[in-house]
Amino acid sequence: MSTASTNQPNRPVRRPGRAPRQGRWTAVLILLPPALLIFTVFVVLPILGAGYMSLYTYKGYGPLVDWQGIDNYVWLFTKRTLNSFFEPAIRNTVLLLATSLFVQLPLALLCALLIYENTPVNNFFRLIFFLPFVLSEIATGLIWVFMLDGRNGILAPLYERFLGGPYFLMEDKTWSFGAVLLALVWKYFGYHMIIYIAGLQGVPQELIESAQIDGASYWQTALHVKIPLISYAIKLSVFFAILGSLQVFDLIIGLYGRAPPEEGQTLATFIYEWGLSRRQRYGIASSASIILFTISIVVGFTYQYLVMGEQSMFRRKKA
Amino acid sequence: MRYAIKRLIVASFLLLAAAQAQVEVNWLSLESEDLRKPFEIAMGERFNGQQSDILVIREELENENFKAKLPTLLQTNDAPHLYYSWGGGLFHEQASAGAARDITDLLDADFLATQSAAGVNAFTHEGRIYGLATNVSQVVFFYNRTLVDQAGVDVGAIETWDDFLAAVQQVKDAGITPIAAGGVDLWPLHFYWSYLAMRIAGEEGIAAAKAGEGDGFAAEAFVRAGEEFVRLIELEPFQEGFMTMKYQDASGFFGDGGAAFHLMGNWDLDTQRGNSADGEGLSNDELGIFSFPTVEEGVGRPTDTLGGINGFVVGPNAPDETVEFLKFFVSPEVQLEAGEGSVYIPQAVGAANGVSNPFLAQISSNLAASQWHQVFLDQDLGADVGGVVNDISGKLATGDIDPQTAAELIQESWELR
Repeated sequence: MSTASTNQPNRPVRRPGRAPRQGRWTAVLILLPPALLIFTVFVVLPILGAGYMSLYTYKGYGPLVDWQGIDNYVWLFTKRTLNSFFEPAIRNTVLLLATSLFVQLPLALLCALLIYENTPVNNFFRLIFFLPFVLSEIATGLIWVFMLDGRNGILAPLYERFLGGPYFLMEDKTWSFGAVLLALVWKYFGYHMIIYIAGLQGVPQELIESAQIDGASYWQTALHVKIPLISYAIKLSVFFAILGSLQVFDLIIGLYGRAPPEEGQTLATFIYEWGLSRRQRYGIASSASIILFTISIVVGFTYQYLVMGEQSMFRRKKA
Repeated sequence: MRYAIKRLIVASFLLLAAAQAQVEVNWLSLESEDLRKPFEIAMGERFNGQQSDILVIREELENENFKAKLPTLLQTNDAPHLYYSWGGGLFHEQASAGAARDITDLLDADFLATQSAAGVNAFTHEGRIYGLATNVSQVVFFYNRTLVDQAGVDVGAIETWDDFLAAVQQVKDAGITPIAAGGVDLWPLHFYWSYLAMRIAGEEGIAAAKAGEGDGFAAEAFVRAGEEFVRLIELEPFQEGFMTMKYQDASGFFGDGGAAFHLMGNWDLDTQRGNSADGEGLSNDELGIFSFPTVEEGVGRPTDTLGGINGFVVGPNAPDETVEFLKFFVSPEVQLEAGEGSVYIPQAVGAANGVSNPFLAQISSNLAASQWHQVFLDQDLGADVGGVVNDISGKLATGDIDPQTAAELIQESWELR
């Protein structure tokens, strides 16, 4: 939706004289309905459906008859059998978000600054760092399961050396989610790095050279010239990181090898566990999905409004 | 050559015509590692071979997939005509929501007389029949004779829970892992809590809890079930890393002679063989079984059994021919074969007489003597409450919850149902 609307005012400015005004409206009338229809059928209707279902007790069979009002929402916070899943789900979702923003992105930026220039060695490392992003999330999960395995994993000798025996991180109630965070950073930092590299390669060489002539050190140049000049790329990758971290799912299933235990839940896995998977309480799962949707919308639009401002990400991406 | 091709074309047209006259019955079963799968396939083929009007097509899904997909499948036009069921709360849910077909009028008295009352009851909802049972199962303690003898335990003398705890300690003292458990699946652990609750609260106690009388599932008896389970846990009876092992792993571990006891349904007789390292597992001579012990001051009868009554439910859009096949499949003749082939313990009247395997025969007589057969609580209480029973069983086993809270959580989810 916003793709279409934010693009439109821009068109005539960028390509003056190419499309007369009437032509633009014709284009809208021809091009908008298919997109709008698909968006309505596959996005808007399911969301409304989930919102409707979240007001009922529903176990997957027959019509919706058991009206509950907002009970499902209240129960998520008040009933222990639900809250013991929901509370870690919220906490872990926040953890994913924080790790994406404060560990993954700085790491990506650091790597980008180190290898953005085109040399054979840099190209090699670019490939290495980007490779995990190409893998599917489920494959990533499996790779990390092999790495972490307490007895036969690559890390097993380290466990033996420092912990004095086999250690099963995925069974550790306190730390198992750490593995998810680790795998997340490993998988996605390369993606953000590539965005930054693309930005850094566009920084004019004269500016860097003049900073150096003025006596700026390598890091001063990075901090005061390069990073400010790729701020649009950073804003964009922050946006992707936020939305991505709210949606992580396959990675978690892959790592735990099953539906995660209570301490490994996120909002996405909570919805799966209580709706689609074993428990079949669709009303409760729907109310959680509405909460996740609300968070995504609020965060997404707030970020767009406050940080991206007039320079909407969609315009920037094309520029 | 050309003539041959012509004949082939004519023949295939004839075949096509025949196929069109046939009614297809889509049969959705559950994947299994024991003898049930080959038996079902063989009986499907036999039925298809006996007549030309009906074509039974069997498909199967893995357990978790089956449970997750069924609700959606049953609401589509492609809903299976016949689907696997554990009975219990989920079946009643399906029947009351129109996800099953009422077949009462297609079953005459003569046919029903061949079926056990418990079997028919299991698939009856508000006086109407929606499916038929194939088999019954019981959860029992399996034991490894060699290991038990080595530890000097007299299994025949185990009557009470205290006796059993003493035996566990004795086995442990002999340096042997007392019990195998597939903890990560949770349901193997819920057998302990279920049996203890049955022995302590008894049939009336569980019925009262379901009816919401008194404190329901938070009542004293259910708290005590947790406490007794914790007494076992405090002996550290399970193999190392039992909370990382699935049922199949634990079953194989027991089959490899890793532990002295294993609390499991009678299907483990085959499963422990299939999952053991050498594919042989424990032979009948090396195995023994005994019923879950009684608990002092508990009101449950020692003969009360926990297990399953499994069968097939007829789907909402199923053609009448589906019932033809179902009647064939649960007929005493076919059921007798199942018993003779040690596929499972058949439920049809008289069919259990054919059970040749000594363990299945013993379980069969346990079931015959049982006045109350409780269907697995994680099925009987419905997917959601059952899930909580499984959760708390796992948490009691790892010491992450106290028995009082465990009982309260079950009651809470029962109220949220």
